[in-house]
Amino acid sequence: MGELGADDGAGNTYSLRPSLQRRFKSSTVKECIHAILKEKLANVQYVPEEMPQLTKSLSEIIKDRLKEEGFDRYKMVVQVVIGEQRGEGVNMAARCFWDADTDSYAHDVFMNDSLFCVVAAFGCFYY
Amino acid sequence: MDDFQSAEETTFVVDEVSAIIKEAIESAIGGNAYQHSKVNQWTTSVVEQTLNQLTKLGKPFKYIVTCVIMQKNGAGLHTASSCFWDNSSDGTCTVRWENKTMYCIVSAFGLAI
Repeated sequence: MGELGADDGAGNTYSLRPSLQRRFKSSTVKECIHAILKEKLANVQYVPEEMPQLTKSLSEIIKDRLKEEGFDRYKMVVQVVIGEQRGEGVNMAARCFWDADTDSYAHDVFMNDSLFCVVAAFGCFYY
Repeated sequence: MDDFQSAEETTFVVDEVSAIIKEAIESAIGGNAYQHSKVNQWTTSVVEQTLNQLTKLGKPFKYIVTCVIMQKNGAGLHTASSCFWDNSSDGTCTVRWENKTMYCIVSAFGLAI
């Protein structure tokens, strides 16, 4: 059979790994998230009735933005957590079971006087 | 015929995962009150236990588990997630747990290989 990766004319071109340029780059994704949070949450106050809608729409917006970035063959998960600032203690942790070579994540935190927002975006390569 | 996996082995079974998460939360923070010095250890232990049990299921999945623990003091908390995946094989399960002094929200995402 042909060697892995070499195009011997028979069309063995299915790549099992993303190329270096098309990796789910943590820094690129973090910048996207940061820009969106800054734009959408700049002067927002914590209003209990509006928060569910805001959280949902924020996660959709970020997911759509990441789709536009063009991470081919990547499955993505975006999680948004918004909380009121009242001096309470909060702790968030995440663990993943994946292929460290191809998969990655990025996160960002936004805070203003009345709320805090944590966004975590995970990308898993689909073989 | 033997090479093809049955449906149970290649889809994300929410009930199974939900039970695993509940058990992990109970054993890690079951009877405790919120303590700032310990909360880091608790979130870590909840996620690690959940992930360990999920991998023991032996299914062809990649897993992502997140946990948020928040002290109860009247503040509000909202979480939302948006996913770009294959609906027929991938899934998510979120468990909300609370006691007198804190809230705990654990989300597990399973993505088929």
